[in-house]
Amino acid sequence: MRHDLDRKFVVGACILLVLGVWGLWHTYFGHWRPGPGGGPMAIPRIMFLVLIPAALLMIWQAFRYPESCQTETVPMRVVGAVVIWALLYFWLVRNLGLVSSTAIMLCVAMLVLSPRPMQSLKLVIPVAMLSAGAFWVMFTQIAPVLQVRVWWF
Amino acid sequence: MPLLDLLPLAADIAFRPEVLLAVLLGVFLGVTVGAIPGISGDMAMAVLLPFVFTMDAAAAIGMLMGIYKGGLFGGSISAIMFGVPGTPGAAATMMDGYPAKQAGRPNSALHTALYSSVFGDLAGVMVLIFIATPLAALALKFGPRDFFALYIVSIVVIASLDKGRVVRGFAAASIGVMLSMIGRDPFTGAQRYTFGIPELAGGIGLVPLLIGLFALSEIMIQVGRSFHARVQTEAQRAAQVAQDAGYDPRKDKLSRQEFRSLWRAMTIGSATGTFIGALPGAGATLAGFLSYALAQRASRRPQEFGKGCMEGIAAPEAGNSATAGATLIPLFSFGIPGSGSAALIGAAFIMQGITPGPQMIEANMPIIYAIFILLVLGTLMNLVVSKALLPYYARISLIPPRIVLPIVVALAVVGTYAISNSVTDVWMLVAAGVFGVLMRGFGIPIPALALGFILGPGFERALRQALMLGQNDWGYLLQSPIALAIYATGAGVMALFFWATFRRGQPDAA
Amino acid sequence: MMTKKTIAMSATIGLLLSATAAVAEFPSEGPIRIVTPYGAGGGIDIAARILAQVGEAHLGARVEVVNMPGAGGMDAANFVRQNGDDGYTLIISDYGPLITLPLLEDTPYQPEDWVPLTQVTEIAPTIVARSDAGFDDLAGFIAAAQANPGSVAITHGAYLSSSHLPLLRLQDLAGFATNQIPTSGGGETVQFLLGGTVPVAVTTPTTIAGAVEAGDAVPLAVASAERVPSLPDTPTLAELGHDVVMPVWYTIFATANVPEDIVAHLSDGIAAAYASDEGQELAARANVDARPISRADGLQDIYDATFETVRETLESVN
Repeated sequence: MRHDLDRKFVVGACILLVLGVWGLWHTYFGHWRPGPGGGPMAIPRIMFLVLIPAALLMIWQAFRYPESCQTETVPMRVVGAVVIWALLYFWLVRNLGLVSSTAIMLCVAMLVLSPRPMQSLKLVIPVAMLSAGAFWVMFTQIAPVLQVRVWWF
Repeated sequence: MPLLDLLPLAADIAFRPEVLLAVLLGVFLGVTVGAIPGISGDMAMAVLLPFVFTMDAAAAIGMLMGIYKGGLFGGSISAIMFGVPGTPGAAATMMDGYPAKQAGRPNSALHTALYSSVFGDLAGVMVLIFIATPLAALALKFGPRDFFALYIVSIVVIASLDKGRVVRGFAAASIGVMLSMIGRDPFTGAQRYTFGIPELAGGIGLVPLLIGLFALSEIMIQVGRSFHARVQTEAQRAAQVAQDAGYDPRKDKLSRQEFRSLWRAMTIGSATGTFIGALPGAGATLAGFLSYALAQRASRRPQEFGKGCMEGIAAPEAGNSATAGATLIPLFSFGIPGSGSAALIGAAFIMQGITPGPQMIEANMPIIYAIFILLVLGTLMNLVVSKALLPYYARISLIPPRIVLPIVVALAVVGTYAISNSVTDVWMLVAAGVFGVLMRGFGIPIPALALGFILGPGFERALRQALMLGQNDWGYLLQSPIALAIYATGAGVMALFFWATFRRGQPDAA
Repeated sequence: MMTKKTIAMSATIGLLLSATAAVAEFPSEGPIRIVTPYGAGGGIDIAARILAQVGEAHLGARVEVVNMPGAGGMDAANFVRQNGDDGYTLIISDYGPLITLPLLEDTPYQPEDWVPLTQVTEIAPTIVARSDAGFDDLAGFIAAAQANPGSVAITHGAYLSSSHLPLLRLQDLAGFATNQIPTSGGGETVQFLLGGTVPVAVTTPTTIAGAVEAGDAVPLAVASAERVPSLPDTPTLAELGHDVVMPVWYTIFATANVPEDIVAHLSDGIAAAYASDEGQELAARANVDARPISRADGLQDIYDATFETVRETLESVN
């Protein structure tokens, strides 16, 4: 199978290259508090000195071996949805309580993912309740480490 | 006191119902909390510390060690079943454990993990009992430049783990080290790369980063697939259902022959884990990754690694479990707690009025030997308890993804928050998840980045301590026989690896 | 929705992990939380957990210990600032997060935002040399350091931590310079000392106890006002003519907004808990030299004095 040059891969490698060059410049001319043993910039400088040639090699590889330098398409919309769900869930946990928000948000997510939401209700609701109960046992009973409200009020 | 007189005394202390029950309870608790992301064995041990006051020494230490052992294995259960490392030490086990589960072999993967965990743990305990002193003496000789050598060789070996992606591995490792630099410079307290954001001053947490990179990113991609299933046609849906239900517990057995092929990986893992565990500060996570890398180099089928092969589970699991016994070596020999868990065990000893250090073994012979007995028993209890539970864990595979995925995301969020009740950690988790998706898209190896991040702080400390000791002379870094031996070993491993690849006629696309 | 078995199991485990609460008067709203800015298993954590064992009888509420490491102690301090005005959330800390940190940078709180309730114990920073280092007393060490300024390597905990500041003050007052190597803490300090990387270290008596007993290390001096019970032959720096008295105290604090009668109740109750027979017995087992000092015993003065000493030392550095 023939592969064409993957532009996205080259762009990604270029971003790494820019990051490396900026970082290296910054370790020399940035504002650093002087410190012992090479100073706080010693390790960053070494790492940028590794990153720059690595990025250059990646660009070279993209042209020389395009078949092994293909990017995969990432479903950004789904990623965004998961991020929003996770943050909303977290906000609810802190404001509504652990058990109630876990049950609600799990129901919502499971129904959205189900092919036939109405018919899945029978399965989804008990599973969500059970999971919320398990969370309660795990995070407040087995290891009482969580500092959040547990119930509705 | 001769051993023969000692053993009955020690046995009297160890073989009491309440002591054995405490150890059993510890193992059970450890496996349970280890499997919960965000709650590590360390946390459970900390929660139980107050009870140590009221228990006798053997029961207390036995129970805490039981939690530690159980926790190391428990972390791998969620790593294999959900792709969420329950403890950082299980991150390496996940590299093949999770693919194996997806390939319909969760039961085999879990059993491999359990057997190698028990094997590695026993190896570590045996070393602790019989050859602790010479090993500890060697570990004590490690100065900053030797740690620097160890860290740099580990990073190089693991960055070049993924054949054909070596360059990307090095890029990932350097980014990982850079991420660990964010926050406060340990030597001056000055803020670095925080861009004026106060939340970044504390640095990026290890667990949020690991769970985000490894687990959340994987889930995001899977949700994409699952959501796709919702909008597809009836025929496609039927195919999807068939595939989801494709897991057949009866076909998923670990054969005797397959188990026998794991000896080499388990031995490599145990040796690596014991050595790394005995070194103060290195830890179970490094042991896991390094065991994985070395086992891959030594394997007859290195190309299977990363695709769910059992060797890739056995080596890191033996490696991280071997640290359990070995981490006590510097504690027992010099009173130096080499890890967070060892510090907790040390605290428990102190609470019992026993000061960890060179004299503790002689001064408390019967109790120490009773603890040795309990360490071995705890391992066997782990085997029995976990073996009984594994078939049930494996059935999780029968639950369709649309049910499991939301639970896992919720678990990751709450688990991350539970570590230290920090909102910042949850933001980090989500950011790391998105970053992980991008890395997967570009084929950049995540383990290299994770390891760079884990080793970064120690790496920097070692380098700067060495430069201070050597009055800024970089040559000082090489003037140590231990460091030179580590560099030589690293070079040897790399050379062997490239030579083997070359001979097989698989030109490395570098 | 849970099965009976699960409930029974969780109940058993729950019982095991948390003693049942019996509540009266001030502490009528559940347990008192003691937040520690460090991980579990350290000295401060153990000190707090003694109170968790014996506190209920004296305070009227169950005591829980919450470990909140992160951001050099700022996370824990901020958490207590935000949740502690009712007196149910306290912090146990050394002076690092509450005094040194605010002096060094912009923290959302200042040293005067905290009310010390009870000092639990005092740890003396100990200067200790490897037994083959070539000096067996402090004078020898100082002479060696003065002969070659900046060449004698010495390890301590983190930069500007409570094991570093006494050394800085001693150097400033006695006029010598060393090559100070920061480490990640007590374990690494002892590793480098015994492994031969450095000849001298500053650490705590407990950390070094094993090595001293074995004869591998010699304590040179302690930075407390009086000699340390576990090292009776080691002189204090003050005895040797150096005005360096910088012990590390573990003290339980409330925020400054807690009403005065609650502060008094907590201060006396915590002191009584540690002074009780049971508290003393636990402390002795745990190797904690618990000598509680309450507000009535003049704790505020100790806190203010520490603040002054730390401020002076930091000024001498910069």
